[in-house]
Amino acid sequence: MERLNTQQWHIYWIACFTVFIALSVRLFPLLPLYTNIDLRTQVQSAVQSTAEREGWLISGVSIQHVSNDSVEVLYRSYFRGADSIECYAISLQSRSLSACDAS
Amino acid sequence: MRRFLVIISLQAYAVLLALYQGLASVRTDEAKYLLDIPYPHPPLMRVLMHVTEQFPLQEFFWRITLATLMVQSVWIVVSLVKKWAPEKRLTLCGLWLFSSAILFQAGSIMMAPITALQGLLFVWILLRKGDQKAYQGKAGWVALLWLGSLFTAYQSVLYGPIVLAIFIRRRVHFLHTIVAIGVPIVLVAMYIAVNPLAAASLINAGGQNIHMPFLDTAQLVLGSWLWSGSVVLSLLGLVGMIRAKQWALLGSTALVFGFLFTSYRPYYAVLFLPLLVGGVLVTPSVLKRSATLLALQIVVMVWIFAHTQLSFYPSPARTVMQQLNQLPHDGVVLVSGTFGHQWQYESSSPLYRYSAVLLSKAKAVVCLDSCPGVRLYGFYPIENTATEVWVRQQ
Repeated sequence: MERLNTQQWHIYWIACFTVFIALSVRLFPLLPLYTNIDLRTQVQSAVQSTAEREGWLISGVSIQHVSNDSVEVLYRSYFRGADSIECYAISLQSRSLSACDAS
Repeated sequence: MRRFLVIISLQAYAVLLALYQGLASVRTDEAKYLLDIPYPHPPLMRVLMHVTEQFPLQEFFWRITLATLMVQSVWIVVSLVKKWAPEKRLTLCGLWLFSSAILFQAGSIMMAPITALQGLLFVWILLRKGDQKAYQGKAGWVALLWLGSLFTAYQSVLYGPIVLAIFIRRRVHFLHTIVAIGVPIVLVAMYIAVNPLAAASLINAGGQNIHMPFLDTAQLVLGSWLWSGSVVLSLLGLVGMIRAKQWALLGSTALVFGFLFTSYRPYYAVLFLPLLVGGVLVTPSVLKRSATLLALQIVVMVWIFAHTQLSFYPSPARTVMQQLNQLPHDGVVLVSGTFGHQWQYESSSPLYRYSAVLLSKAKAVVCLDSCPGVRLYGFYPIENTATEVWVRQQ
């Protein structure tokens, strides 16, 4: 315990750095959402209309990657049991949906 | 032996509180945490809860765990008043145990009671007396607790003034203090940025009281503060921290009041609790007539309990889903209308919003609102359910 006490700040900074790296990796593909207001509006509208059409609950949608013409999302059905997770690309122009591996 | 009996009695109280909370089935926010649905809070506790999803009694496991933590944390309070007269010590414990926030929130699976517990830990660290040098060497653990509490729930930031006071009291270098407190806040901001849904949810929560008249909001917030400590602890705690000029506690209390003004929810009342206990701890003289105060606290708590509407029946989500989970065929469940996450928690099949085009995938349809077209797709209604339910014909 004494040895841990001497390392406490190191443990704290390692924890902070690990969280920072994990979040940075996720944040980088989403940066266009925060730098381009028009794109953000388009993405919001595309995700909402797709969720409405597909019967998705918006709480199950997680945005993975954003580009100028499409947004990649994971849809997870939460329930008691093994949740199903599916990856889709939504076209920002046509609002059409395609499986990630097909696009 | 006496201490052991006290622990057992407290545990019995905790189990009763957990069972009481379980009477009304899982609520929407509780379901959100138990299923690890990623908004609005950061993931630390949610992930722990999700790990236990396969437990058949997951809900009760967490109710009992959280109720136990809330009730048994009275020992943390006791550890700060070892030198007090037994009567005063007992009164302080009674004020904690018989506060409405403990009675009504201890067994709920919410982030607010967990945040309040983390707040109590910060208050404990702030008010502990002892070798200053030994404490000075443990500031890194406090920083780690701060990081952990912020990644449990955003509301931990309301205890920021206490954390700041801890660092100042331990004579941690100013720049080190600012960085140690600021970096976790920046990380939480990054977490919000990678979860646009959490960001939207926060913006929504922050503006929910905007259209409410100021006096109505003030009434709710003040009521929340009084309710939290069953009036007696609420008043004593606030008077205590003002008389002792305990700026860290006052700062946090002001932040909790401010937060409730913008984002009022009844369950945030528990956030006052550790601060109120801290207020009594810094001014023991407020407990002058301790026996009378404790008696009054119990009377108020009983009065509040007697005027609270109790729910003894399982929710429609539970009764309906128990029937649908027994259906032999596969498929999703469609739900029309507005519904909470408790419907997902009770279901053993994926849930989708009702749309006639999804009927081909469905094994059942729950109509909380109208379900146009369901009759045409080979579904038949089932009787004696809490709401309109249609099941696919085999």
